[in-house]
Amino acid sequence: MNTVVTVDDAHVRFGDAEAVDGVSLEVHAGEVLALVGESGSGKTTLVRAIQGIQSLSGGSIEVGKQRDVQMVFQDPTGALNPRHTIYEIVAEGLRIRRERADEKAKVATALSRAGLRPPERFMGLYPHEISGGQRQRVVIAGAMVMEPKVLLADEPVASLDASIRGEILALMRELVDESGLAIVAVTHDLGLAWNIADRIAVMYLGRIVEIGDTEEVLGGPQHPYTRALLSVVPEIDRMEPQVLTGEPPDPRKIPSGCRFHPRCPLVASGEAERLGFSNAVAARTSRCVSFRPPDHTTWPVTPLTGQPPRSQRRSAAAPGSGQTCRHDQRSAGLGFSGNGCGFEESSRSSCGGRIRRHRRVRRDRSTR
Amino acid sequence: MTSPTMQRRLASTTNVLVRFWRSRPGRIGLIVLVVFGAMALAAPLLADRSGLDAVASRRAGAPQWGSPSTWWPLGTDHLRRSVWAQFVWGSRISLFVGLAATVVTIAVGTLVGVTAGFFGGRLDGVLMRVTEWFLVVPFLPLAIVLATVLGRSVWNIIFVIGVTSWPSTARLVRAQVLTVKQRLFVDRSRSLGASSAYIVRRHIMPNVSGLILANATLAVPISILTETTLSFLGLGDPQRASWGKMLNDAFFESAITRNAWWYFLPPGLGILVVVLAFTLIGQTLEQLADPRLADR
Amino acid sequence: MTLLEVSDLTVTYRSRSGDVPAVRGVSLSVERGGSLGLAGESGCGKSTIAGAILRLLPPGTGVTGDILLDGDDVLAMNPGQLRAVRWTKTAIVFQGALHALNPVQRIARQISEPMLLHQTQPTKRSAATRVHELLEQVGLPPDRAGAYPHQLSGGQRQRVLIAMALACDPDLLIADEPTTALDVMVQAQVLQLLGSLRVERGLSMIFITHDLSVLTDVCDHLAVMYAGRIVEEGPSGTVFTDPQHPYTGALAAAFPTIGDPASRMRPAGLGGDPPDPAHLPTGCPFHPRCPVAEDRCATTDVRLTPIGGGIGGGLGADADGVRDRLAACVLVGST
Repeated sequence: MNTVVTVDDAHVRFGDAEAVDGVSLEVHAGEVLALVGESGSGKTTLVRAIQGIQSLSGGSIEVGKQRDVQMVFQDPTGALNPRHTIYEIVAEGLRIRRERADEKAKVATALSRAGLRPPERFMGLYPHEISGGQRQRVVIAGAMVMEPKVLLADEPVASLDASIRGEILALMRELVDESGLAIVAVTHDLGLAWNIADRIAVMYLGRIVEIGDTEEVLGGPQHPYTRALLSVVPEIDRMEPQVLTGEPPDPRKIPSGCRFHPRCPLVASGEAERLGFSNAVAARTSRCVSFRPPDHTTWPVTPLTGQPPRSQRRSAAAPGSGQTCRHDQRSAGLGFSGNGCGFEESSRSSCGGRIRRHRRVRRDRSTR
Repeated sequence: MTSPTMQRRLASTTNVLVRFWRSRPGRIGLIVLVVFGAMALAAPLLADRSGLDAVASRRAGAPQWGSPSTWWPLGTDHLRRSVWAQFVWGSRISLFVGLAATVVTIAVGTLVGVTAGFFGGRLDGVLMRVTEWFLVVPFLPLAIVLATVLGRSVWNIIFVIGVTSWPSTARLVRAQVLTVKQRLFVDRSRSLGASSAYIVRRHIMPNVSGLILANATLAVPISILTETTLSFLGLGDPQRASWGKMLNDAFFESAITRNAWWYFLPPGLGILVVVLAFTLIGQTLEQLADPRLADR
Repeated sequence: MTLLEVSDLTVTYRSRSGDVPAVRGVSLSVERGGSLGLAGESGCGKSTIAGAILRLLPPGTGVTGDILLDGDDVLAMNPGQLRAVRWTKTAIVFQGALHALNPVQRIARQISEPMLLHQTQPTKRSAATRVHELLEQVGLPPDRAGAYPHQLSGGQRQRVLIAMALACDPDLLIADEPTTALDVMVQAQVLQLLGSLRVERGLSMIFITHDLSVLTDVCDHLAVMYAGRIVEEGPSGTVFTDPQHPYTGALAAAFPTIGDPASRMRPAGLGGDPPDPAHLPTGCPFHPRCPVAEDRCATTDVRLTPIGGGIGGGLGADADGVRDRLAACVLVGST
């Protein structure tokens, strides 16, 4: 699989807030990855770091050339300079890089690809003369004119009217299917992920808590947070709504132990305790996926099926756990950097949930 | 610029000019300004320079405090000089100083405002403290000191006005730059790889220029009035005729008690009308620049 | 018992470039304890209706029709009666909570303001007590009473707006896009809160939003609006799962059901844009974007008609209290 973006243990810190706290993932050509989470989860920060407009305070991100990664923004009206014509806006990327050859042809092609046809009609217009959906297409054209390998879309349809969302999403899918483009779509809308994403990564407080194929994650979510998110989507009849109390988390005050535990329905309902997973126990065995052990215990390295660990960090076996789970083949492509997952392969996973096919990724470096 | 953009820009500019012409205040202001501008430029044709010279006027047999007559359409002053000549030639100084001082004000103010607003941080802090100092220093004492130290000339007047007026422009521009800086299209430009210089040139300036233009057209009358004040106080160039100087002379030679209205009314009204004209133009431009009023 | 009855409401905004018909003949009703969902996108007129009910539209706006609130005609009231009715009978929770709150006043003061204005609480002290009660009811810790709006999160601000709306114990609550721009989980919390308020206080509600899927959980009855008119109406469950009007179908499809293979990798949307109220297409206003439009759609002006053998006449209900299904499309008649 052709990997176009490699994120390795990325950290971004703003003052005393860890917005991104150890994220690793890979994005492959020709796929759409949905990055899902609430505000404060770090998804937007991560994507800005991938784009290069946000600097990392730790870890690394590999994307090829900066021009290979382009962004599509949440607010198409704000993203366009009201004093520039559509032509100038789309050509901006080329002009910044002084690639003036065939500029007009490239702009016309990009506008057509984005669905604005005939392109000449739009070139001389100003942003306020076209509709919201068309503005988003202009933003997409402005990104596509650079012929990127990856498109980072930050809530691409959130500000658009409901009836035109489908068209923009269909356009994005079309671009992926016809040219091997990869898209990372940041969103809080699971329905969008269902609509166009091949894989979905759920983020909470700066970490990925669950990642995998969309059908599997949304069909059988493992992590209690993912389950709760899914359960509150209206029209999900098969799940009892678990409305989490409290506010979306503040990255300045990351909870100790399992960072999800203050809102975890399993903790709240006492089930976690019944299964023997109190915080004290968790401190020793660290089974819940969001766990960040305070004493820098690291996890047994399990080479994934056939793949050597990415970074060569090896560590002592975790106390108390004799077994390690076997990852499904597909997880191998996610490129875990070195530490395997510390889950036990048992009928009960950590957090009391059930693991059938393992999809969670632990990104706990514990190197702080 | 390429042709679709050029065509569009041309169309937009034409549109703005047309809308400007359609607004009555704007039209009146512009006409008045053109008239006075023409008068200033055509001064040699309108009034002989010798009318400014006391000696030549005496030789020509001009009366003292003569009321308006055929030869002297606006009468004469205490030195037998033609008031009309002073009015016509004086307009040059008033307009020139007004415009030049405004250019200095706008240039310095914009430079400081954009630098402080865009780069922020300590540079912003330092620049703003400097700006505040200039704002706080009382204008008249500073003008008097500068005039005394530098000597009384037209260029020094321009300098004095510029030095004391740029802070308010700087603050205005900085505030606008702060707003524009945060807009999403600046982020987008950065994500496309733009340098700071590019962003300032292509994104910040176009969105600030409307404000600057409106500010400039309102700064001109202020500069003219300031020049008038300085000349009235005797800080202006004693060799040159200017409306402020005419008012100064009129005051000190007791033109009012002599009922020599032809000496102080023309310059006073001249200032009033020109200032009003610039104000009307400035207001019209502000209205035009506001996109909310564009369509509805 | 009908609490609110709107008949043939028309609202026309006046502007320098002409009249803009934002609402063109809308009739709806809300029973006591009932909840009506009003769904639609930008420009359809739904927020205008909310404003019209409390007469909060800009002066000079042309409003015709009847709005009967508990039997009284709102449009015929004099200013004194109107002020008495506002907030005590009906209250609005606006969208954009950050802008609806005064940034320089503490929230306790803002919540108590209507109480003191309407004298439902005689003294500042009793008002303060009531503020605490309200904060608890909406799930805010009472110690936040002294906070300024910018110190609260988006979800908390929305709760403050709800508390403010409940301050004078209204019979009818109009919620205008209360959950847009909120996180999914916070949205769920707010919806849960509104649901429980309905149950505990017997509050009637009009819920305005563009997210059709949200309405099905919260409302009994649903009306979909397009270009200033209602294009489909009926019990919320059936309107969402079995839409009759093509626009309703498109709106429902914009929020795909997770797990439904039909929408997997198949985003569904309409071409074009929601119409500009100042320039509406001829005939059925939806026809330029309609996937099943026929020639006659461009020339026939459609009205809301019952489908599936309802009683007809618009707002009646049959013996079981189930409301009519109505749709405004020539292709879906009373067949």
